[in-house]
Parts: sequence; C-alpha cells; structure tokens
Amino acid sequence: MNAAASTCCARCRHFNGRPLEIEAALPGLSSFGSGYASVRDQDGLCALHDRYVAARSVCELIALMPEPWIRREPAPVLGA
Amino acid sequence: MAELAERSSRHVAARPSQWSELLRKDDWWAIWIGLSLVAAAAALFLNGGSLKWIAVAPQKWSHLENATGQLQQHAAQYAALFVLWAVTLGTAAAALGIRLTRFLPAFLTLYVVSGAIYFLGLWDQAAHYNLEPPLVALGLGLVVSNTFGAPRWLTPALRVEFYIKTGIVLLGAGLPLTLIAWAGPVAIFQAAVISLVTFGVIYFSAVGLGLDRRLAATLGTGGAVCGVSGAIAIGGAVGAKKEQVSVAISLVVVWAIVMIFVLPLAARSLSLSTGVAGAWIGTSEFADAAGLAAAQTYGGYAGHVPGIAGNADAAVSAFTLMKVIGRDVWIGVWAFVLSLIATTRWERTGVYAQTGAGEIWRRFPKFVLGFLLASALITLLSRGYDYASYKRDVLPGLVAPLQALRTWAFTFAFLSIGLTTRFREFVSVGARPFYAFTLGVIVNVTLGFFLSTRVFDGFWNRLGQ
Repeated sequence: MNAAASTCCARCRHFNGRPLEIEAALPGLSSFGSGYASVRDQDGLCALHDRYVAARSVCELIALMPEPWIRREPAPVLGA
Repeated sequence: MAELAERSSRHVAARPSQWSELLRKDDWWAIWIGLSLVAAAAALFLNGGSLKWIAVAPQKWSHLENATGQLQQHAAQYAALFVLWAVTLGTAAAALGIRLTRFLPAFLTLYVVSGAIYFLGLWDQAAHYNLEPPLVALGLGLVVSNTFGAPRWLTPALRVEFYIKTGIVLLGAGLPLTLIAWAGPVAIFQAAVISLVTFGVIYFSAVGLGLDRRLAATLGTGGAVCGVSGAIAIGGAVGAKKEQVSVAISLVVVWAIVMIFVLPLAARSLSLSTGVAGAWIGTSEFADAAGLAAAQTYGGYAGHVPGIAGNADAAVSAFTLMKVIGRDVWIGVWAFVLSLIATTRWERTGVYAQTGAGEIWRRFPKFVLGFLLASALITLLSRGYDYASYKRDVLPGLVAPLQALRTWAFTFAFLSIGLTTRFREFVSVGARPFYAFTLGVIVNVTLGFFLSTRVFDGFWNRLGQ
C-alpha cells in the first residue's frame, strides 16, 4: 500500500462528483431523480474502476489531486 | 482495509464545510423556498392580508372566451407570479451552478406551457376527455422529447426533483400535523411490509438469476424504496458499477411512467375512493414525481367521475403519507445496512466503503423536514379556529394560495419529466434484470392493492372524508 492510498476517493483525480456531469452520464437520473439530491450524498463516478462510489471510500490505486486541494496532516505510523 | 480507513481518517483534505450542503443540495433549496412562501403567507394572514393575489390560478371555464378573459383580467398577477418563481427558483439554480442567463429564458418557456396546461385542466370538459393536467404535461413532454427532441436551451429549467420537493414542502401546509401523526404509523407499517417484501423478491430473484449482488441491491431498493433516488443512493453506498446504476435507473423510469397511466386507470375502473387509491399509488409507484402525477390525476376524478368517493386532496395526501413518510425517509437506513453488508460480505471490488451510522443522516431526504415544518407551522396558526371558521377564513386566506403554488410547482415537474425522458438514451438493460425487476413490480402492485383495499381500506377511506 503506498502513501497515496491513505486518503479517500473525493480527493482522487479519477473521481467525478459534479452533479450535472453525473446526470449526463446516467440517463434517466434527471427524469425522476437529481444529481443535487441529498440521498446522493457526495457520491461520484470513478473513471478508473468504472464504478459509482461514495466519496468517503478508499482505494489503493488512488491518484491524488495536486495542492491546494489537499491539506495533509502528518502521516500516522501504523501499529504505533 | 482497516489500515486504509484509519489512515484516511488521519489525512484530512480541504473539503467543503458540511454547512455548504445547505446551498449545494436541491433538498435544502426546496426547504428554503417552500418555507419562505409558507412564512410569507402566514405573516400576511396574521396581518389581515393574504398571498392569494400573487398565487393566482386558473378558474373553471367552459368557453375559450372565458379562459382568455381570465388571462386578460389577471395578466398582472400572472406576470408577478412569474417574477416570484423566477427570483426564488433562479436564486437556487444559480447557487447550484446553473447559469441564470440560461435558466431564466428556459424557465419562462416552462412557465408559459405549464400555465397553458393548468388552464386546460380547468376546462369543464377536461375530465370527460381525460385531460388531467399531470397526464397532459407528461404526455406532451414525452411526445416532444421522443420525436423531434426538446431543445437543448430548455434543459437548465428541467429540474423535476427540485420542483417536486418544493411542491411537497408546500403540500405540508395543507396537511395538519395531527393528521400526519394519526396516519403516519399505519403508513410506515404498510410501507415497511411492502418495501421488505418487494426488495426481497427483486434481490433474491436477481441473485438467483446469476446477477451481481450490487446490481441486485440497486435494483431492489429502486423498486422497493424510492425509485431513482433509491437506486442512486444504494448504488453509491455499495459501490455498484456505473452500468449497473444505469440499468436500475432505466428500469425504474420505464416502469414508473407505465404506472402513472396504469394505476389511476385501474383504480378508476374499480371505483376506489381517493384515499384508498392514493395509498395504493403511494405503495406501488416507484418515484415521488411519478406517484404525485398519478395521485393528482386520480384526485381530479373526484366529483367528476361517478362512483369515486372522497375529496380531491385525499389522493395526494394519502400518497404523500405512504411514499414520503412511509418509504422515502428510510433510504439512509437501507444505505447504511447494505453498505455494511457489501463491505463485509460481498466480493471485493478494489474500492472500500467507509460506512457508519452517519450514512443515515447524510442520505436522509432533507426536504421531508420542510414538509413537516410547513405542516407544524400551519397547524400552530390554525389553533383556536373551529371547523367553520377554518373553512371560512384559514382555508381561503392562508392554505388555498399555498395549494395553488404547489400545483404550479407540480406542473413544472410533470412537464419536465416528459421533456427529460428520452427512451433511446436508456441502456439496454438485458433480460435478467428486467425479469427480476418486473417480478418485483408484480408483487409490489398486487400486495399494495391488497393492503390498501382489504387490510387498511377503512383507515384510508376515513382520510378522504
């Protein structure tokens, strides 16, 4: 597991949580649903896995977006 | 995975504040707009005024001259109403990232066509020709969208869910909190039975047919809980493939549209009362917008079609209690449970959900809070009025204008449904998902009919009186 795997999908460049683009990618969503709905929370499309995933999910293949979008805290020492 | 979760929680990205949800979700905007209108109506009423001047609505007419005469007489009010909607909905659209310069012209068109449909529904021969506004709006939109196509510039104003949620918040003003408290437990019990059975039928038949469990769960909640919203919520919670979410959405949309026409016609042929029919529609429809179109259509039969007992509002009220209070509010619980099962029991996908009880609140359909608050506010204001004075003063001065605004919001939604539904865009769903979902539809409609007309019929009939 690399260091990049230690954050969640919302910060990954493969993740797209933009409501209008999700509506465009899922035909029918705007007919009886909405990309802006609370039930959708912050979910988005993962281009890498071709899945619709929760923003809080984690993945070993994550590709972090560059600063300033990410504010990192010191990495924990696992098992400490 | 535990390591991943732990490290993730220590690495905090600069993310939008939780409070930003209040401006980024259409649920919250439906609350802001709906409750602002309710508060304005209440303030005016308490000071001897009323919102009814601006909450203009067509009246019954028999000849075209009557209709054009009405329009000329109230032209300033219709213009003012457009400005009210344009300002409130436009503010929300801008906050959601939709350009105002694109939203406003599109919304003007939507408003004018919705007004024409609203007028048509008040024609004294409309019921005779089955020209119920929801069906006309839906049918017109479907024909336009699936023949030469809705113009692209209209798209920014076609926000079905936003209009429906705003309408439901306004609907709360017409439902006393005491009625919700009285009917809520029965609605929740009936909805729980139907949701569990329908989910079980779809899920286990899908798994039995060899489909992936994530697709089975997405199909199941789409059919059992809250349609497209259920499918998208569970799809995200369990990490379904994009194609699986598309399949579930396609099936829900097609069946929901079929049921908009089938359920009112079936209930009409059986002469069900408005309360019973509304409960059946609330139990067996798949989406709020679709169910409200069906329920409002059926309510329109009251007083026009011989043999249908109950008042017009009872169909929409029973539907809302059953669907919104009985089914929709539980989507967060479904998401939490299924996410937990997917994470711990199902095959791994390479993406690991970090589930927790917070999921229940995050996915809660917040507009329901606005519905309940609107109901509480009007119930509070109506205290001290006896039935006669309520009918004489409160109903026309306070509640009726909000009901007119609700009808406008619903008409925007019904027209938008048709205009956004392009069947050729739907993915090919495949035979096995179709069989599993359709089996669930058959069980859902049959069981919903049985519960509404045999087990709880006395209860739903009383609601209509």
